[in-house]
Amino acid sequence: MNDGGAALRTSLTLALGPWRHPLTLAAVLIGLFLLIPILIIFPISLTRDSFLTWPPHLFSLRWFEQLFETPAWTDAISKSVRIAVPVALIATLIGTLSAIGLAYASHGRRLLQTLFIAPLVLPIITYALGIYDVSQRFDMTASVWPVIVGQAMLATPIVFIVVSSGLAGRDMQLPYAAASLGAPAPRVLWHVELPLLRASIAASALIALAYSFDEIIIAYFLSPPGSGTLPVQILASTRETADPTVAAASMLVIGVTATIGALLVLARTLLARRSA
Amino acid sequence: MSVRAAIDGVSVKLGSVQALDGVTLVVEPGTFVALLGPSGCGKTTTLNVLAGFVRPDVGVVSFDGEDVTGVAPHRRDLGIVFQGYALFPHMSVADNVGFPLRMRRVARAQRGAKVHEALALVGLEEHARRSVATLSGGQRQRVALARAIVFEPRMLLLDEPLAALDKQLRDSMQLELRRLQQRLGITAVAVTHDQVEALTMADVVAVMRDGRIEQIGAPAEVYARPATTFVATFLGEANLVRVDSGELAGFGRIGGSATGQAVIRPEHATVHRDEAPDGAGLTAAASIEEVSFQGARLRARARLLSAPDTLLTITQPTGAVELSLQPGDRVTLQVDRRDLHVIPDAAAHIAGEARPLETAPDRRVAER
Repeated sequence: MNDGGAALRTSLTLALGPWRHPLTLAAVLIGLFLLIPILIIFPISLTRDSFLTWPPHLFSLRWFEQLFETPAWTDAISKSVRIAVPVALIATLIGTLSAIGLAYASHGRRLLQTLFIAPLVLPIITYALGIYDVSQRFDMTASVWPVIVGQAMLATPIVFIVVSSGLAGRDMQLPYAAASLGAPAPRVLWHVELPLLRASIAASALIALAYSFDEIIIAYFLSPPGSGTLPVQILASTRETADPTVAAASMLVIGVTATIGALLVLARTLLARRSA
Repeated sequence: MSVRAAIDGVSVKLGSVQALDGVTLVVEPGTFVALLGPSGCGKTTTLNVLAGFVRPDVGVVSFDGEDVTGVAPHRRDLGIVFQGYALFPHMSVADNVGFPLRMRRVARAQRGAKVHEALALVGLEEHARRSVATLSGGQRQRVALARAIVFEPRMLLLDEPLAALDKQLRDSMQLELRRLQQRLGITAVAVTHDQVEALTMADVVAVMRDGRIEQIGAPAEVYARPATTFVATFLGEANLVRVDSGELAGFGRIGGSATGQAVIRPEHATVHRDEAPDGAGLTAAASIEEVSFQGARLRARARLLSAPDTLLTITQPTGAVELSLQPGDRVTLQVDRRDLHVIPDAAAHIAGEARPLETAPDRRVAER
């Protein structure tokens, strides 16, 4: 595969000719443009000033201290964690089982596949309003469960897609082989299918976790007033104050997401090394 | 370890395709049967019906007289070697081979001994702890084989077992597979599109076409006496020469009053510079049109002078013809009467593809 990549690269380089350099430049500029917001937030979170100012006066960790000491912020952080973990678990369970189930389905596979992916294109506002209405009827507006259910619903397609692609990549004969060797369906699942999907399942669980940690629409609609998740608290706080704690909180969200991203890359590298 | 397997009147429809059309096949205990045919002929479906992966629409599958048509694959107790081997990539060699024992809840200690024994049988006992990803193609093939026999199954099914190996390895594995099957005395059914493989390994060859078994018999018998022109041309190379009322085109009378196609194998025609040395056999004057040197053999195309529509492919051991042949040479072809086999027209019609007065196309499947 590496050889193929090299050949492709050579052929692309030759085809682009002198256009290669301006294209590279444009790509770098676009990358920078996407990174700039993060590059700006980072120094602001380390400012000594009491307001969101530019350029910031460095260097102080007081806004991070503030973040981890103010009850409003610590509540939001703990709430984010208490929501993200069950969201990841529920989405992983449903997404994995549905992907495996559909791989075995004989009828209506295409239709069901579309339905499982459909939440990705759902108008989330409408969906959030709907859940809000339902949770009112069940008198659960003060609970975290409506948020968990709503986010899990939206994270499930992510798991479904990642696990489905993992399934598509495996040797189709393996479940047959396992059956011929004496494994009934549940043991085929447990001893062959699930172990082979370990990497896909772990990756999709991490992505679901990151998704929930970052999600705001559902969380904003369904959180009881004054006790939102971290993104909700960030949004509320930018409206009320120009307090740099917001920058520190944003850095926390970015940090969590980046850590998860790094874990994914690490897991992939380790897996690739093992199977090589 | 040796079951008598029978398929009786089995038909299978896969989607809109009639994959099997009333197939009946009996595999005697301890014999090795090769299902041979072009792709889409139904040989793999036959194997899947035996394995239980495909349920027949009509017909019965039985092992030792016991109806197993509706029995799930995991209860059939068959060792299957899959085309791509289907080794579990997340397990070591020993765990792969031990898998069927684990599924049968064999105690760990006993399992170890059996795995070792099976691996020793295929000469891989030293690789037990390796990951299957580190093995070569031939080694994977052996692991798949060890895994398929370690639990002493009732029958061994092989789906294109050697297709993924290179030619040299394939040749030696054919004999090795055969030796192993005979040593264990296990009933075996193999699917292959490679006629040499089928002829080498099997006690019985079943040539399939369009969901039916066209001919079944011992390899030498099927090769020497093909029932249809399809079998004649699929199994090895064959020249089909028209016979009219006992008159073989270009060669003259062969006796009898048969009408149909005579099968002349390329190796059965000898080439002589001048007249044939003795009067025995049938002779015909021909002109050489094409010659190719293939190492041990010389291969030529010859057109009969008295029947210019007939073009024969002939192979000769290199050196058998005193002078090297050139296109345009006039020669005498000689065929031994005993090597001649005539397929009557009625049978040729069943095959449907008979092309009178023309050499059969070369049907050997290209190397993959």
